[in-house]
Amino acid sequence: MNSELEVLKKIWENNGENYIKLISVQTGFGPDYVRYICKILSKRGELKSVKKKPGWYRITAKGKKKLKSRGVIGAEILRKAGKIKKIVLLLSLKLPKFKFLKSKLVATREKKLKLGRKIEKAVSFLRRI
Amino acid sequence: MAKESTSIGKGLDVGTVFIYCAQRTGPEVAFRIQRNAFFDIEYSDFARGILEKSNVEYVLNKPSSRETSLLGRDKIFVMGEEAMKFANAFSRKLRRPMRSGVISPQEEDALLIVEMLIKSVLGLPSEKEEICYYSVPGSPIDADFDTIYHQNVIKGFLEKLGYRPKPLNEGLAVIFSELSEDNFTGIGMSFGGGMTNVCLAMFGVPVFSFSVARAGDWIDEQAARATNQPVSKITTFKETFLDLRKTESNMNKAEQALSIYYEHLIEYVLEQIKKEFLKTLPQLEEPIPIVISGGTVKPAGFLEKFKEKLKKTNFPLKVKEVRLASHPLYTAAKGALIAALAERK
Repeated sequence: MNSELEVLKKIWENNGENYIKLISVQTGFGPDYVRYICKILSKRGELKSVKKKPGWYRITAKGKKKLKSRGVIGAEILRKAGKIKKIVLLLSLKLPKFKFLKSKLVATREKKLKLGRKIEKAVSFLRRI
Repeated sequence: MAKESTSIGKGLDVGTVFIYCAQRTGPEVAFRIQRNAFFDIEYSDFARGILEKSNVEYVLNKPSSRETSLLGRDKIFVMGEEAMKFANAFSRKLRRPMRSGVISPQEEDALLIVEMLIKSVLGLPSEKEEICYYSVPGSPIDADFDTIYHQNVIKGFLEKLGYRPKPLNEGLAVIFSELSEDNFTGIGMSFGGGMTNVCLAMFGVPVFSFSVARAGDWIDEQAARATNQPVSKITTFKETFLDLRKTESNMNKAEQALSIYYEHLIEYVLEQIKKEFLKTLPQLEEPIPIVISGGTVKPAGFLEKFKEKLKKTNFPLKVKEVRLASHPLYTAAKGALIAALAERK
């Protein structure tokens, strides 16, 4: 779960309203970082600041919908056997477009091992079987 | 000097913690490695500036206004090894697109990230429809999920890149990699991050194969819970300092917890092999070798611990020897490469 979902979840769990310091304690994120996330979520309409309560935020219907769509709340339980629950998550089938800003591939590490002859031997054994 | 020719055919190991690609070039095999992790951060000029100054590869997600993507808008994604380095700098948790050996249903961005990470290690095919064998976990016997979705998603990614993908059971990949001189007969075990895979094969044909949803991550989580420490701290300690040969009196609290869960995992896996053996009852005339591989076998003393537990277990098969794979981290990718090269005549 990403940080935004964690913050949304903590607000929803606290009867739909929560304040920055408590969210910070509950999630382990710094208060500045929580404030930053809350501002972004407010801009998106997933949270609303509570009137006359500075630092308090309330989850909106849009925020709840997001939590539901990620399966964080209200995921449909298909089967329950002992401790195992089989759930259905409603994930989008549409994939967004990514734009690489620098190069076309993510950097990788490479290690070379002198295994060519061993591999050749194994390949010839496997072909015989 | 003559240029070494690159063989056609690649092996891919899509693991929970790392993704490996093996490709042969003359006398060498090149393993390209990618950490299967990422983190995302809201787009800001500040964040972008930090990444650019540090020369970090990153990806910007900018869905057009018409797209109704569930992903957040204007996000920067940092992937692989660099994600590990920078997650702390941005106070973000490292996210993992896979869990328990398969694509994580809890990570909504998992598909895109895994696709990009696979592309980074594999590159483009050397010829049209180059064969690429990729490792897949066996059916889990202790968890309520299957691997069909995962297997088909990876297949789709490889086809999109232009490869001819072929799945290979991870345990069988260990056998292809390490048991050629035993006619590919024996038990191959891969103790990975999310799962432990086991396969018993005779002449390269699997008799039974399965996986258990307990492996390195499970050890870390349990030990962290027992010692009330963060999982990341336990993981770092395990990967850097853990020595299972130490006596209990010389171990600290974390070492003791890790040692206990290592023992428990070995016992658990051996017990599952016994159960599977009793279901299939294969006729084996000669004692068989057991090869163990994967990142979780890396701490010193794992092999000794495994042998000790095997001795104490009433194991139903005669065992010729137990040994560690020559390169435990690369075994599955190497086995997949052997399968790919053997198919191309």
